[in-house]
Amino acid sequence: MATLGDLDRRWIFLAMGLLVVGMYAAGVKADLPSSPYVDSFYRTVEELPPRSIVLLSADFDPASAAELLPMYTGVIHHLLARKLRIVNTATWPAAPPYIRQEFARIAPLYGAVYGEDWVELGFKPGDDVAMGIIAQSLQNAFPTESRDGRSYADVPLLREVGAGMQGIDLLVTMSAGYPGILEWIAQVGGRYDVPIVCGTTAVQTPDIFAFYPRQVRGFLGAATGATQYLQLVDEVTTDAGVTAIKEENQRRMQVQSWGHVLIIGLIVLGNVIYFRGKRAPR
Amino acid sequence: MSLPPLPGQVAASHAGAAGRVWEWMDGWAGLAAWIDTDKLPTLVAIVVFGALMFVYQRRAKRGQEITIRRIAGLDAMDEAIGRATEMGRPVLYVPGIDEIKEIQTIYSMMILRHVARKTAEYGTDLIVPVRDSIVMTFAEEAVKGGCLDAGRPDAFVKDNIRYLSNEQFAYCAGVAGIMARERPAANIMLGMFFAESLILAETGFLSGAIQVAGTAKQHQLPFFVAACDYTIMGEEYFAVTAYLTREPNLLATIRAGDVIKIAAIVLLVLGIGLATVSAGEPGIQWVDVMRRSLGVSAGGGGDA
Amino acid sequence: MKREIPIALTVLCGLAIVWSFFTPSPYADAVNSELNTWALVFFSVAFLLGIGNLVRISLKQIAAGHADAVFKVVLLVVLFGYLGVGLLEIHQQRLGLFGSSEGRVVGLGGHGERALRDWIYRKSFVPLQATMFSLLAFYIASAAFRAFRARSLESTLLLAAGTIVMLGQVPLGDQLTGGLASRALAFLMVHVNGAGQTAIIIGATLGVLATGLRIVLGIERSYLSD
Repeated sequence: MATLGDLDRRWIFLAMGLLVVGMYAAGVKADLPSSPYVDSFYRTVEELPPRSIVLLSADFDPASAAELLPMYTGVIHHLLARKLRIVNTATWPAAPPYIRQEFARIAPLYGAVYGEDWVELGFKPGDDVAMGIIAQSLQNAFPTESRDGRSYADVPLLREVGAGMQGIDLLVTMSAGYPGILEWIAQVGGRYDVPIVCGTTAVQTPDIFAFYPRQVRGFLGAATGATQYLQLVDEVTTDAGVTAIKEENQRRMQVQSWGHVLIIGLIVLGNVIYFRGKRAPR
Repeated sequence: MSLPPLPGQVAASHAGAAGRVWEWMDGWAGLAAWIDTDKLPTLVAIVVFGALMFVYQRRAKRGQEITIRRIAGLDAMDEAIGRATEMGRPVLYVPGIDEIKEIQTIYSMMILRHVARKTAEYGTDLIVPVRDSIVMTFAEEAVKGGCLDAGRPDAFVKDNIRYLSNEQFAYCAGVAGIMARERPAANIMLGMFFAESLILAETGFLSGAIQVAGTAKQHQLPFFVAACDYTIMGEEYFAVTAYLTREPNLLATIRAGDVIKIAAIVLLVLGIGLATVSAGEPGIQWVDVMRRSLGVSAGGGGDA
Repeated sequence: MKREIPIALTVLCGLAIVWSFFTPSPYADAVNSELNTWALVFFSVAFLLGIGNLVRISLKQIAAGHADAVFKVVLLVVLFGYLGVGLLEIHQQRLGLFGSSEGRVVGLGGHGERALRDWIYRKSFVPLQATMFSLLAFYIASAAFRAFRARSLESTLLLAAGTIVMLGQVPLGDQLTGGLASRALAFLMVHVNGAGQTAIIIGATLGVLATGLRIVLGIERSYLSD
């Protein structure tokens, strides 16, 4: 036991590594029961009338893409399947490649036309200052759209949105940290009457409970929320890609399950060592 | 603008008086054109807070003592710097990863000056890796100021204030590299942190340093608690500069904040009581009376 | 005047932003918008300051033959190389560097006007960032083994809460506990965590408000140099 107490950390790292690789290779997956917060998120989107305009903000980077990219992909599928229109933007500089990649793949599946059904505004530097500018006047924040460089007024979808937030029916943000959902709540939710839903990383999810359901109508918390949401979206879309992402996430949840079990086991072991050390005669 | 009607028999007299006062004020000064009434409670709260700060500041300057309870992490900072001096190894100060516009970063600069004074007095190296170039200039000024305060301007080493990268994990890798190579004996991490907090804290632990960390970012606190020797949590972080310097301005701010918190607790308890009394009962919804008396609307609006 | 002018600017800009929040006046929105735009300009210029400092220190260490000189060379090559790629791709049409395909400019990578930039991003930046973030999984395991000990009532509560959250978040937790884990998690998150988070947010916000007020009113000046 005394030897275990001096355990080299690298054995723990090795155990974690082998467990994750092994369980991923085993490929077990299972359905997750849904949660009220995910259901709220889903319902908020479902209740929007067709042709409503959604501001979709990608506020993440590769570090958090494992949790947030599946949600982001699911949201794009859900919005386009419901014939909702998307104005997409990013407040993290590393997000635009993900936006381009996902929309290039998904928009054609639903016959979405660029400029009419969706438009890419690109990255706006300045963190919460940028969000304030976006909230005050989308046109001032983005004089041109990002893909082709067309003027704001020349894009039919943006003309319909208008200059400010009055044309936006819902704000959806996939938020990894700062700037993210908390800043959107302060800059948009507190000043303009735009409903907000979000997806967050595991670390930020406990923060959101304080804002649910008034400032945030629904949220997807971490990989668990992403999986639960993808299960719902899979029922309303026919694209095999959604099913594939859903099953991949379910597989990852099993891996995460065993990782948690390992950590709990280590905590128990650590406490056994601690209490035996206390009781040992000096 | 007229106040919304209050329920039940309370409505007649209160709505009449309050509504008449507002209409008079609006007619006299055209206030509705200048103040968003949904945000009026927020403005009143800020003004009250500012007034309290002013009152306590005057009292503190006149000599009234304002006590702050002992914060273990702060006492440990001096111990950590002393340990680094004895071991002949540097002190590493990480001021968080956010920009200077973040209040926690501003506070971190103030504390950095104190730490720089201590390290200059003891003749210990102080390394300050930063993520933002503007923070770098403030850090240079803070360290220079600390060295001057200690009467040791020669102790300032510009190359020890290092701008590593704006990219979060590149910065994190850089700091971890400094910990592994230069093996500071004391790590002081005070400011705004995000996902890199555990990597920094655990790497610091593995390098054998004594670690004092502090942040008001609540979801990083558990990682610091798990991996550091001392953690300064939440509001304690904002009390650090007051604790160290005992400046009347700062002590007054702490006291004013505490008074507002007590008021918030009283309102919370009152609100919970009224909501409990009103629940399921027909007639006057007292919690609505309270809400409307404070000018808070029932949904959205002034929640900023 | 070296201190008075910055303090005056701080007070004026701070009060203007605060005023714009509380007033429906269109003048306030215009002032706020202008100040925000200036702030964005300063943020962008700050990058140059950082790059300048990085280049200065790196060149100094390369010249001195520092142990890390090789890494400093790599840093400078990557920094200016990627910057160059980005600038070329932005201006390639105007510079007439490459041909066009179906009315769209063909980029350095041959498949789209941002192809090379995105390729470098996907092949280097994404794996590096994901790797650094993945370290957290290993570090939390070792930190949990070392630090989560039931030494006192508070640490036992921390330990118990952490265990409930870890079990409740994953499907295996419900399978092992007959559905109890997710129910316990929901209770903890909504009632305990929600209340605690709100309280911490109130406290931290008051601290931020206090410092902000002091800076905006010109009372706090320690951020200025001596």
